[in-house]
Amino acid sequence: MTRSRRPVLLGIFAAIVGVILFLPGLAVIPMGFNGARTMRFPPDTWGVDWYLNFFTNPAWTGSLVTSFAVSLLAAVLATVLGTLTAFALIRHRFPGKPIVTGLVLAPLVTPIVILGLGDYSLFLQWQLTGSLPGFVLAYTVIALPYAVITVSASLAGVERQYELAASVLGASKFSVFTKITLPLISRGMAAGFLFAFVTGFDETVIAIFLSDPGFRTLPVTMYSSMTREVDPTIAAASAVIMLTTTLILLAYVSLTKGPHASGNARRR
Amino acid sequence: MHLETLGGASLRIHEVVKRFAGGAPAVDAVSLTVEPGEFLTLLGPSGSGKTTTLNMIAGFITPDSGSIFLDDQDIAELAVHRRGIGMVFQQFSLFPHMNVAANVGFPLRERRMPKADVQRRVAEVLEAVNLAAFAERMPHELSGGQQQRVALARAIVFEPRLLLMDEPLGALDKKLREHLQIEIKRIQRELGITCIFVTHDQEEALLMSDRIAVFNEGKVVQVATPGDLYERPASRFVAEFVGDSNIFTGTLATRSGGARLRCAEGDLPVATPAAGRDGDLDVLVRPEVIEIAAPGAASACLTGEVIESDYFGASTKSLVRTPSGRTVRVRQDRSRGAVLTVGDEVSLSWRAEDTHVL
Repeated sequence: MTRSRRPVLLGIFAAIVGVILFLPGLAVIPMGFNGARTMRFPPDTWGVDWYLNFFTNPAWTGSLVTSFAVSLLAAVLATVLGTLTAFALIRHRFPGKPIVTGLVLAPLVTPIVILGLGDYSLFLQWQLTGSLPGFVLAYTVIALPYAVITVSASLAGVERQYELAASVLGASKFSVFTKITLPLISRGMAAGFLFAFVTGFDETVIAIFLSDPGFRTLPVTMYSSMTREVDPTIAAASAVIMLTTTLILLAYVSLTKGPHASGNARRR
Repeated sequence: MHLETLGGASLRIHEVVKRFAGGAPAVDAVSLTVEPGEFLTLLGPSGSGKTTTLNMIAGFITPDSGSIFLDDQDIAELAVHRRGIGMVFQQFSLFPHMNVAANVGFPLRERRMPKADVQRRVAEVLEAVNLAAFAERMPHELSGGQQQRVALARAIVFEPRLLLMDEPLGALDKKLREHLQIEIKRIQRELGITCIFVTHDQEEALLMSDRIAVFNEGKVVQVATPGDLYERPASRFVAEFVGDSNIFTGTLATRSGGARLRCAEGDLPVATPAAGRDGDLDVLVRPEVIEIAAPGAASACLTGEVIESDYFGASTKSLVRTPSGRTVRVRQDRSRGAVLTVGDEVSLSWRAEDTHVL
């Protein structure tokens, strides 16, 4: 009744929701261009000092690099493991499959603070807190479900018949995998990789547990900056994180909306 | 067309059995011999074992027992990609991430053919299936018929000596199907390639095949030329599966002076069965051998009332119900008299030698 007759109302409603959702995020961009050392929106005076500070102060650049390194490695690991897991779950039958599926997807529904606490107590024993391997391990676990889900979806769309056709036409098993299966699931893998990267890049809770002064990711540096000295660099940092994740998610959308996104979904 | 070929391979399947978890055998001791250059169709209802048999020849399924010889080489243990068999699938299965030329060149690249030779060969084959202008298209930009011609080109490009086709025309509409039936037959004949074709469409099988192997419940029930299969089916199943049929069941009343079958519908003239065939008999009377006349004709074998009449242009297919309650299928060519209308009383007759004792 309302949808067909009042698209205008729906449009207004959507716009209001959009503003409520996006405005707080967008506000940090001008806040970073403050000419003074105040957190104020809009700023009274303008300047680029805080953005400069973000990109030159070793405390900030160090944690930015750490964040990138940790998220990148975790995303690579999650994509590889996720692809292998997807093959097991989609292509094979084995006892205990529902349990494996549940365990792999569990990080999606486990409260993140519980994961953080668990990671912290274990990694203390293993001496992995405040280290690259510790972060990569923890982030691989929370990124894995995204990789498994996206790769499974694209693998389920790859008809076995493509692989059978390739093999009868002369392709060895290795050839079938590299020339047929892999290209057909590559979009799913790329999407899983991007999701995994973003998951790690803006993760805060586990990071607070695992960081120490010598090894911290960007969200942790932002958090401690917020609690100790309030200066607009944090706004600049937020803007950079937001821009990065937005660009990555746009890349993801363009991947999944491409000309033959799921390979064969359009074929009857 | 300048396709060259090595000629067709021979194929011998001996006592092949395949049983899937639990149930009855999907393929039960099937033996078949296919001559070089022959077009053999595996015909049967779905679940009769014809596709499983084809998949065992391709190597997708390993037989539980029995052997498969391709040109005297036992291929049971040979990896799928080393069998050198061309195959076309029902769903075309063109690789969606490769254009037409790349799809057709795939088997050649896998065989490490030099790039220039691949290009030349792909161009030749696309020419042969009348798709030369489509080399750069992606599969999803082609119609179903074009996709299947690409799939055919891809299956023959590496000069296989055996071509397997799994219901290749099943997904296409009637007109296109008829066109491609002729096209496939032409290419197969020109290449001299041995072809095994799976279908559940008996008309397609009759039109295309040199010989037809009829499958039922995992067994081959008859192997024969299309003519023999239609005119002299070996069993009631084949008679009913291939073409329209009327089958009368009864006992042989007399043998001398024209055999007659005593059955529920009356005493019917039938072909004289082979010596020793006595007792209960099934007799096949094809709809087109039945003559229709006004009621009371002296030669009448049966009388009845027309209860349905379907006009097909060149012919009319009718159902006639006899007083005994039997429905008889009749096919009348347009040249043979007036079109029947529902409710007409008619008499039916046929010549005893046009019937076939099953």
